[in-house]
Amino acid sequence: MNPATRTLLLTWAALLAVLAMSVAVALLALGPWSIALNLGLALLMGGLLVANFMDLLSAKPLIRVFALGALLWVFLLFVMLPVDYLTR
Amino acid sequence: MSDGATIASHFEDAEQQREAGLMGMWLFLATELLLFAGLFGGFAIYRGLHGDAFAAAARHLDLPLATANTVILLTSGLSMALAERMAHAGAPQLARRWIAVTVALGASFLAIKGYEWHHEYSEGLMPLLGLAFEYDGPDAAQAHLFFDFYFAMTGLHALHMLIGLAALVLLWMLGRPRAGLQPDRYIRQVQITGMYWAFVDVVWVFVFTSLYLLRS
Amino acid sequence: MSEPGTHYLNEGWTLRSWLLTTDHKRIAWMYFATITVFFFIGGLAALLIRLELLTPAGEMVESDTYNKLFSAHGIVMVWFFLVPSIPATMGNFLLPLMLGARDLAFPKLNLLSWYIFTLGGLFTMTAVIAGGVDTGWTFYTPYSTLFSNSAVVLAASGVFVVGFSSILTGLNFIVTTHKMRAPGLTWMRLPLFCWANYATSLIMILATPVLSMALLLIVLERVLGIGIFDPELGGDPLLFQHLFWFYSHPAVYIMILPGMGVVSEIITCFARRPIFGYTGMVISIMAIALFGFIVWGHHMFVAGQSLYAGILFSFFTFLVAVPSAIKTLNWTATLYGGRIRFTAPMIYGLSFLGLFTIGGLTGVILASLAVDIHLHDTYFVTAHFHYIMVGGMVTAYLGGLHFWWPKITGRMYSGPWSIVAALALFIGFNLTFFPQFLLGFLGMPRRYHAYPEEFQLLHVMSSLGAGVLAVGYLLPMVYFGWSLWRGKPAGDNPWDATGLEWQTSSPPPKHNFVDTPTVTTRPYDYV
Ligand code: HEM
Ligand SMILES: [Cu+2]
Repeated sequence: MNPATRTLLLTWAALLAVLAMSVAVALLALGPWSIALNLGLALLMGGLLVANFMDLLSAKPLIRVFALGALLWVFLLFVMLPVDYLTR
Repeated sequence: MSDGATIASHFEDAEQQREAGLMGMWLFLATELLLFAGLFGGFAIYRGLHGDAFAAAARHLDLPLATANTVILLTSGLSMALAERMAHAGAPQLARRWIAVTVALGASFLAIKGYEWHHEYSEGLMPLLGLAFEYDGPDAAQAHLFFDFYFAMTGLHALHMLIGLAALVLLWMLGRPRAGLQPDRYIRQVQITGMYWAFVDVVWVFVFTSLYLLRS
Repeated sequence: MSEPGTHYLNEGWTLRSWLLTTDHKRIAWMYFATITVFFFIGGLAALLIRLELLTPAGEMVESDTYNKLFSAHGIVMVWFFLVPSIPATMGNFLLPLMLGARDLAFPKLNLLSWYIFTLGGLFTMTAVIAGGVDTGWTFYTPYSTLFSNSAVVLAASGVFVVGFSSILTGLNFIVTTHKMRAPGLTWMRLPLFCWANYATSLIMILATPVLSMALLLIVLERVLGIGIFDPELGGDPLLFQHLFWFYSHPAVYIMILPGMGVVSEIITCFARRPIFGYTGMVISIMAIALFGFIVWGHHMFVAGQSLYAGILFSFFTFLVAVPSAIKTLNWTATLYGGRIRFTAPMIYGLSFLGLFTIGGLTGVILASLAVDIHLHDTYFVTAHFHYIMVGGMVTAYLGGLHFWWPKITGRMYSGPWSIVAALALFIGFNLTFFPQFLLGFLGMPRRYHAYPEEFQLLHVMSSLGAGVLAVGYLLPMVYFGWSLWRGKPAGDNPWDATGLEWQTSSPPPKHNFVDTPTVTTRPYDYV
C-alpha cells in the first residue's frame, strides 16, 4: 500500500480508537476527571484531523504558524473570558 | 510548473497561485474557528456556572446514536482525504468516486441528525419558536439554556455540513470526464474543499464532546 | 499590451465594466462611492442630534426618536463607514501598487466583498427606514433581546453580513502581502501603510467572527426564542458584552491603524525625511494589534464585571497605550529638522497628530478604574472616542485622499481651497468635541436628548462647531468634483514621493505596472 494512504487509514483507526476511549470515559462518570479527560481526548482527535486530514503536518512553515496563531487566539478568548466569572 | 497549468493573469507562476489559494483557505478556516470559539466560550462559561444542570440535561441526549454519527463523520473525513490523494496521484475519476462516498456519508449524518432532532421535538425538548419545553428533571430553566446551546451548536454545524455537501456535489459534477477539465485546477479545488470538510469534522468532535460527553 | 493613453478608468465605460470588474482600483472606487453615501446618511443623523441638543428641553424629537437617531448614527458610522474607510478604498487601491503586484491575490473575492458589503448595508438601511433601531451601536443585551420593540433583527443581521465583507478584505490583504511582493521588497522595506493594513487585516479576521457569533445569538434569541442571554434561565447578559468587546476593542484599532499608516506616508513625504525609528514603528503596529485583544474589559468597569477583572483590564489598558505613544513620538521626531511643506495632505497629517494625541491621552484617563466610575457613560467618553475615530481616522482618510488623489484620478485639485477645507476641519472639530470633554466632566451623561440649563452654553458651542466641521467635509466634495472635470493633469509623481505607487503612470494602467518593478532601497528614502 502507498505510504500516504496507509497514514490516512492509520489516522482513521486512531480516531475511532480515541472516540471509543472518550465515550468510555464519559460513561464511567468520573466527575471532574471525566471532563478533563474528555476535553483532552477531543483535542487529540482534533489534532489528528488537522495534522493528517488537513495536511498540516506536511504544510509550509508559514501555514503552520497561521494555524498555531488561530489556536492561540482561541486560547486567548478561553483564558481571558473566565477571568471575570471566576473572580465575581 | 507543468504545461497546461492555468494561471490567472495577476500571478507570476502556478506555485505562487497554489500557495496563495491554500493560505487563503487556512485563513478562512481560522475565522471559522473563531466564530465557533465565541459559541463554545459561552458554553464553557455556562457549563461552569450550571454544571449539574447541564450534566443532567446532557443525559437526555441520545449518546449511542450520536456516537454512531461521529463514526460516520470521521469515516467521511477518511474518504475525503482519499479523494484528495487520488486527485494528487493524477486519478481524477477515482477521486470522484471517493467524493461520491463522502457525499453519501455526509448525507447519512444529516439524516440521522434530523431524526435525532425530531426525537427531541417529540419529547418536548425543543424550546424553539415558542414550543413547550417539557423537561422532567430539576433545574428546568438551566436545562432550557443547555438545549438552546444544543440547537445553536448542532444547527450551525449542520449548516456548515450543508455548505460542504453542496461544494462536494459541485466538485463531483465539475470533475466528470470532459474536454476542458483542467487537472491542476481540479486538484486545487479538491484540496481546498477537503480542508473545509475536515474542518467541519473537527468542529463536530468538539460539539459532540461538549454536548454529549460532559454528562457527569 | 494596452495602448498608450489607456488606463484603468477609460478602459471601459459601461455599467457592466464597473459592476463586474475584478480590478482592485475600480473596486476601490465602488467602495468610495458606497461609503460616501453612508457617511452622509450617518452625518444627517448627527446633524439632527446636534440640532436637538441646541436647547435644554427635548423639543424637536421624542426621546424614542432620539434613541433611534444616535443608534443609526453609530451603527452606520462605525460599520458602514469607518471600518471599511481606509482599507477598502485606499488599501484596496494602493496595496497592490505599493507591493508592485498586478492585483490582490483574489480579485473575485474582492468584488464579492463589495457585494456583501452593499447587501449588509441594504439590510441595515431597511431597518432604519422600517421603524429604526434604538439599542445604540452596541446592541447590549438584555435590552436588545428582551425589551426593544425596534428593528433589531434586521439591523443586527446587516452588521453580521457586513462582517463577512471585512473578513474577506482582511484575508485578501494578508495573502497578498505574503505572496505578491515585488522582487527585493522585503518585509523591512515595506511602507508603513502596508504594515498598518496588514495588522488591521489580522484583527479583521481574528476578531470579526466573534462579533458575528454574538450578533447571531441575538438574532436567534429574537427569532427562535433561544435564551442564551436571558437572566431568567440563568443566562448572563454580560456575556454579550464580553463577546461584543472582544471584537469591538480590537476593532477600534481597525478604525485607527490604517490612519496611522496613511499619516506615516504623508509626514515623511512633506517633511522630506525618512521615518524616525522604522523598526520601532513596525513593532508598535504589531504590538497594538496583539495587545488590543486583551483590554476589552475597560468598557465594562461599571457593568457588573468582577473587581479583579477590572483591575487586570485597567492594567493592560495602560500597557496598550505605550506603542501608540511610541508612534506619536516617532512622527514628531520625523518632523524635527524636516523641510516642511504645508500642503493640504500635510495639514491633515498634522491635525491627525494633535487630535490623536488628545484622544489617546484621554483614553489613559478613562483606563484608570476609579476615574472611569465618574466618567463612564458621560460625554467625556463620547469626546474621547470621537477625537480618535473622527479627529484621527476621518482626518487621516481625508489626508490620504488628498495625498493620493493625483495618483488615483491623474488630476490635481485646488491648492488654496483644499487648505481652507483642512483648516475648517481642524477648527470645527475642536469646537465640536472639546466642549464635550467639559460636559462629561461636569456630569452630562451621553445618549440623553434633554439636559439641565447649565450645560446649554457648551452644547451650543458643540453644535456650532459641527456646522464648521460640515463645511470641512462638504468642501472637498466640491473641488474634487471640479478636479475630475477640469483639474490640471497631475503627472506621475507630483509630490516627489518615494514608494512604488508613484513609479507608475497616473492613473495607473489596468495591470498597474508595465514591467514588474524591483526594489533596492529602504522605504522613505528622502534626503
Ligand atoms: C486608538 C484608537 C481608539 C479608539 C478608536 C477608541 C474608541 C473608544 C470607544 C468607541 C469607546 C466607547 C465605548 C462605549 O462606551 O460605547 C472607548 C472607550 C474607552 N477607551 Fe478608547 N479608543 C481608542 C484608544 C484608546 C486608548 C489608547 C485607550 C487607553 C489607553 C482607550 C481607553 C478607553 C477606555 C478606558 C474606554 C472606556 C470608557 C468608558 O466607557 O467608561 N482607548 N474608546
Ligand atoms: Cu476599548
